[in-house]
Formats: sequence, C-alpha cells, structure tokens
Amino acid sequence: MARQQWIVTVRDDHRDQIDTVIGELEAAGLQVEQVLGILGQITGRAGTVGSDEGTVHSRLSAVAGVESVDSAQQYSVGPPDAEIQ
Amino acid sequence: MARYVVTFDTSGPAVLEEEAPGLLSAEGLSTLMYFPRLGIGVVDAQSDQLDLLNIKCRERRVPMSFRPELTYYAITEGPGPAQLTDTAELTWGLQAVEITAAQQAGQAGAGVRVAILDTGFDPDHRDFGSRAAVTESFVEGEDPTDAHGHGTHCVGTACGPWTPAEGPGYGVGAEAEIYSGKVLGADGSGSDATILAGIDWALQHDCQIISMSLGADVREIHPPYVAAGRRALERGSLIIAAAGNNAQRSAGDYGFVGAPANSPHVMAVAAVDSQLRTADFSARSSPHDGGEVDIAAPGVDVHSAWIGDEHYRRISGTSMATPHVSGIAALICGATGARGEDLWQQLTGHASTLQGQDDLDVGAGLARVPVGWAS
Repeated sequence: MARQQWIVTVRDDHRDQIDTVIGELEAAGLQVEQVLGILGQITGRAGTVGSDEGTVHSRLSAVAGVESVDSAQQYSVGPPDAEIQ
Repeated sequence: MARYVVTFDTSGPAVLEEEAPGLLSAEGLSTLMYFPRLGIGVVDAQSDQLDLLNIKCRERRVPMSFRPELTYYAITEGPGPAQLTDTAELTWGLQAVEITAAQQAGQAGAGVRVAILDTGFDPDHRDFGSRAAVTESFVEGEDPTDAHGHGTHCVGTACGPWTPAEGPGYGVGAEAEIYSGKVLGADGSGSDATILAGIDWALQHDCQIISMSLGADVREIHPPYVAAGRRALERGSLIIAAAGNNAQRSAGDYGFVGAPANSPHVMAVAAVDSQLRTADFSARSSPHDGGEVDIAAPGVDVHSAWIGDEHYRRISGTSMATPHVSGIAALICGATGARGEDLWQQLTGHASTLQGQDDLDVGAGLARVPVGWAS
C-alpha cells in the first residue's frame, strides 16, 4: 500500500515560523521528507493512496499557517527515442 | 499593445540624443530601438501612451509623429514566411531568434546563472568540457548525470556553444553558467517533490533563470507552482516552462497548457516550426488566469547536444522551445541586468509578431534577441 505524498505550502505570514508549522504537521500525521525553506514548502507522506486522502487533506489543511495542501503530481517527458519530447 | 514607429522630425542634436529618448522613457516606452541619428524609435505601446507623448512633445515644441509599424517583405519571396534551415554556422532556431544580434554585441550571458531542471546533464560532452557546470540530483538513487538525453539537449539549447566541435552553433547563452538539477529520472519522470526541491536549490544559488522543459497534461492549476512562481519572481528568478505537447492540430485538437506552465508567474512557452507556424503538437492557451501561452520559440527538428557517442540529436517539442527562451533571457539579463518581472516584460516586449498565428497559440510572438545593444 503506497503512502500518499503531499506538498504543503506555508502562508507568507507564517514562513518565519516554519518550524512551528512543521511540528504541527507532524502532530497531524505528516512524515516530513523535505523542508524547502526558500519556497516555504514542505513535502512528506501521510495516509494511503486511494484510501483516506480526504481525511488526511482536511487534517493537514487545518494546521495554522498552511496555505494549501496538494497531493503530489507526476511529470514526465517522452522516451529518448520519441520524435516529440 | 502594438508596435509603432515614432519620428522626431528635427535636426537638433540635443533633442535627438537626449530629450527625445527622455520623453520616451518618461512615458514608459523602451529606448532600446531608438536611433538618435535618425530621430526614429520603434516601440511597443498602447495608442493612448503615444497620445500622451504627443501632448508632451507639443508642449515642449518637439515635432513628433507616430505610425503603426509596417511589415516589409523581400519582393522576390513574396509575403509568407520563408523556410529556415540549419546552415554550417547556425541551427534554424538560432537564426530565428536572431542570435547574430547577440554575437555582434558580444553578449553571451556571461555571469548569468541558468538552472535547467530536467533529466540531468552530461558534463563530459565534448562541447562542454571547458564549461563549469554545477550539478545536483533530486532523484532518489540517481546521480546528476543524464541517462536519458532530454536534459543534455535542453542544456545544449539554453547554454550550448555558438561554435561547437562539429555542426552548427546550437546554444543561445553560450557563456551562461550552467546549473543542472536532475528532477526527472532516467525514465523521464519525476514528481512535485523532486521538481520543487530543484526550484528551491536554484533559488539557493540565486539562478536568475529557471528552465523547466516538463509538464503534466492536467488542466487545473496546481497550487504549489503558484506559490513557487510568485516567490521565485519576488527573489528575481524567472521560471520558464514548456506549454505542453498535448495538441494534435492536424486532427482538430488544440490541446491546453498543462501544469506547471499554466500557473500565473510561470512563463509558458509554445513551439513553432522552421516556417514560424505553430507546431502541430503545441498546446493552446487555457481560459484561466495564468493559463495563457506567453511566448513562442523554435521547437520542431531542433538540433542540440545528446548523451553518449551520438553527441547530437534532432528532436521536437515545447521542451525544445523552452530553453531557447531561457537562453535569450540569459542574454538579456547579462546585457541589461534585468531580472524577475522586469526580465519577463523584456522577453515578451521584444518578441516579434508571428504573421497568421493566433495569440492564443503563440502569446506575444516569437522570442528573440533584442537588437541595438551597444557592444
């Protein structure tokens, strides 16, 4: 069962308190993977893909200082032999 | 906005050399294409800006007139774009963006840091042996070296040489500093986590330009890139991204600009072919704020660097158009110091109108090197 990866964007007015936001996100169940200090974003995992995303999203979104919580998307370019990449 | 020819009809050198460009600047009009010996400037403007300029000129008794710019064609060729082809010296793409203007001015993007977030980079490529490159991998279990080819191709177009070991010059910002962040793995795929980590890294290194030839075919704006694009611009870094290859115009499907290029504060780049027509695969603007195609660049049959013994490959995509724009951004930044929002405005302001192409497809038009830089 794959764990869902999330991108949490911290509000401008809470970026200088990002450590507090991280602590509360962890308390809400987020396993923090990266703290992107300049962007004011945090990546991490919580919940299970295709199962409890709605609940987890609500819980993380409720943390003070959070601007948005988004499930991580995948991006790709064509294979090396493709004419159009 | 439209392009106008402004004429100051006087022979007084003080007016032509100082007062006239001062009047243009005071109305927020560019003087990059003002020719003091002729007393003529070519500007992108709203007609009411020029009406105001006209009033001020009358007050100061400076004779001034303005007319919409006309397009002229060589009589032997007739109207309609000629087909560009790679020559021994330059790819068709470098010809289209008017790289010779940068070559004549000696502007090659020296001192400008360009981050290319892609599949990595081959620092041992024979055309890059003497170039300093900062590389980093954000893909778990992979080193920064390109095992796909796409990233090396994009680095080649943005920062490659004007005079390579073999074949035509294919790089725009030939002296720009290369920052290659691997955010897509050898299989060509990656996630928000790797891409945002790459953007954060590029900002740590104060890269003025962040080139992202990647995307997902989703119509919705993805909020992380709204914040990332805005926060990058606030720090003076411009994110330039591929509009997407999800169109099939020949079958009536015009596609849509995908994420992250569909975010406000991220510049979306469309692709044109060697006749300067919108590429069949190049996505059309989406009808929400930020979903517009902002600019277009060469993206069909683009010759650039490739990994391994092949050295070079010719491929197509909005991925190939994007680094053309990033390279031009490096040239402008190097020549003028423009960054962030200012750099965005200069890129779109200097773009040339593409005859017969819809703004929804090509935005401000074809990205090009500004003419008139002092060498």
